[in-house]
Amino acid sequence: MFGRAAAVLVLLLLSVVPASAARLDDVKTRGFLQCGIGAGTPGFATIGPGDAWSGLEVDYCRALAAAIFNDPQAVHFILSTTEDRWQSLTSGAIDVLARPSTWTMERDTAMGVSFVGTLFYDGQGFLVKKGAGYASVNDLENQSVCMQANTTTVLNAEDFFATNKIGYHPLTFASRAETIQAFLDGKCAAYSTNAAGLAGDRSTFATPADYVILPEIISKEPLAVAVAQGDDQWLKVARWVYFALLDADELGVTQKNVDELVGSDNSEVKRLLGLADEDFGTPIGLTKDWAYRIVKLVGNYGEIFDRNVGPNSPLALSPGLNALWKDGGIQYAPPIR
Amino acid sequence: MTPMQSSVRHCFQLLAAAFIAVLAASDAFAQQVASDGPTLAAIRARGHLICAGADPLPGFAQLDSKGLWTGFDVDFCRAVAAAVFGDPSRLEFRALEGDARFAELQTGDIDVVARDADWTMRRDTRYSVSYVAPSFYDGQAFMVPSRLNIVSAYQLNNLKVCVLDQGDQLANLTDFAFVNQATYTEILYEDRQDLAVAYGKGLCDAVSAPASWLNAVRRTLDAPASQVILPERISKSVFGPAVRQGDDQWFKIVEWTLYALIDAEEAGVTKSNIDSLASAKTHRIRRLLGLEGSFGPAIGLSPDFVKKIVSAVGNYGEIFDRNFGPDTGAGVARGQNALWKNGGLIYAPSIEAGDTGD
Repeated sequence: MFGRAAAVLVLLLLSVVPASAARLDDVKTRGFLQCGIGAGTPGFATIGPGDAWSGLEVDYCRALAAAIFNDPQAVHFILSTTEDRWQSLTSGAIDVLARPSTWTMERDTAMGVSFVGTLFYDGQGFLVKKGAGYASVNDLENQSVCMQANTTTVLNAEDFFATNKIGYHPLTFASRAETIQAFLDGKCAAYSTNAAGLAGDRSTFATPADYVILPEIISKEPLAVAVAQGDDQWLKVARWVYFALLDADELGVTQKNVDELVGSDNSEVKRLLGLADEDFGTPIGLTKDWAYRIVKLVGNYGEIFDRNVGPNSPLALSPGLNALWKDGGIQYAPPIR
Repeated sequence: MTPMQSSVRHCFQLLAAAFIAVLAASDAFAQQVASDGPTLAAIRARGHLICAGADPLPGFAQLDSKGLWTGFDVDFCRAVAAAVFGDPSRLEFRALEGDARFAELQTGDIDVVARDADWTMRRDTRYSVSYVAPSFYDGQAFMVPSRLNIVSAYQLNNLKVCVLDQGDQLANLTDFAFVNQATYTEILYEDRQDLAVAYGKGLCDAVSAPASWLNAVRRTLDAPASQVILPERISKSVFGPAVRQGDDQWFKIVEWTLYALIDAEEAGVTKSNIDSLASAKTHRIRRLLGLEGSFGPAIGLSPDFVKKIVSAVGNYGEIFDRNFGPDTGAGVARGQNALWKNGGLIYAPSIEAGDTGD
């Protein structure tokens, strides 16, 4: 067995050698981040006047760009489809996939990618018309449910209705647009997909207030960011940017108050803002003030959530599982120390 | 490790090496090696997993009367061994202390650290190791003798508090006293065994340390039932397995072993009912049992790897109860370590495909 003293020596030697740094170096040399997003998902990625993208996934990429370049605009957004998103990562066409993708075993192990963290904890829900007498999924007995064909949505529904011994009629359609149209045409009592998707689609209806999402969530859909596997430094940069968004939220450091907190005595706040003795950014190829840049230029996780999908946004989603762990949700990050 | 174990292991390695030399001549084995990353290949060649956990700490890792390791950390190691070999006993467990455990990960002396040092940015980014996922949530707490009739940390004032003079524990204590305008006389110890002895002898009124460790200390005291761990947590810490950086396949084997334990609990699949679920109809359970889809082979495991894990060690909740439940004589509430759907933070992505949806 290797002697302990020798092992510790190796530890010290390895500690000062940076991990393979290909992707981060490429991004820095290029001068901007290439971020894969979904097309026009309300609250997550939508394009506004002047071709300005906004949304939860857009803001994650802006935070990553802020940490690297001190400039949240140093991002090129690239549309990725459900089919080409993994290949876009592994070919290097995009640096990071922020398009919300459910983290599953097959995707994590067979696509050549690694998941960074769950930007949004979602689950499958049901949208119904208000006043139609459906207060819970139990009320959908013998009713039709519209879903997109060949998706896990259909399998989850099969499991749920069978387990709860509720009869129902699944009606499936090739595309999401056809599924929604069928629901709006009254062909189904309910439309089922991820709850965030339901809220997003509802916000595009002529009269969103006429529709309500039932309380039951029948699956877990952690919508997560991904990178190509094989570059530990890049994975950790992407992961600690996500953690910094959460840690800032937990410490009450916001885009508004971040400059006032520069004089804080709180040691956790000082470490977050790069004001403690120890430098956490440089060892992963960033700067000492990497997390300050994120909060100053983009905000913390709660601010990003509220701005894009929160109760006062058109999506009107309550935080639910996406509240911080100390506020009843499950969003949690290890500390910067 | 004793010299006896060491020489046995050495002989085993020589035999394994000879075995590989013979097999390497066949094309079939060449393909097998090609699909195994460096860590998995080394483990298969060695014939057993080397897995480290907390230095002896009741509940997490302790030697039983037969000289066998048991505990939460040991059970996780057994789960990984079951995933790789279908046999939880193909395991050499080592109890390590300090950051030496990371050096031994780097050199390949150990394959995985089950759970020990808490996950921090410094450890995750500077030691060429990667934390895999959270497996145990903890936080710094206080323990007091129940005769003091104290039920909340906010009642603590003008007391002698024993605390470790290292890491952030003293800083957390002084921060908490400052914020609550309380006065403590801090009695500092360099070594946690000394701290435990001092508290046992009544040299301090209270002791402050991570709740998991306080629970372990409580079990070693004469009358565990006369000690109270107060409900407040004055820091957050999260623990999880760690692996050597640079081998994605091995990272994912450890990651999905943990997720399999969690998913099994969530789906109600237990060590005792798993054989009776072979006729289950729900897609979710059939995927877990390897009867629908095929998820293990992408990372060098068999399609029924979850079944092997749960048959050997049970699900996450069963492991927790075995090591911290009421039968252990020092029950720990699940708290943050309950499943997410039961108010805790333990969560795992699903063992499923992605299909064409988001």
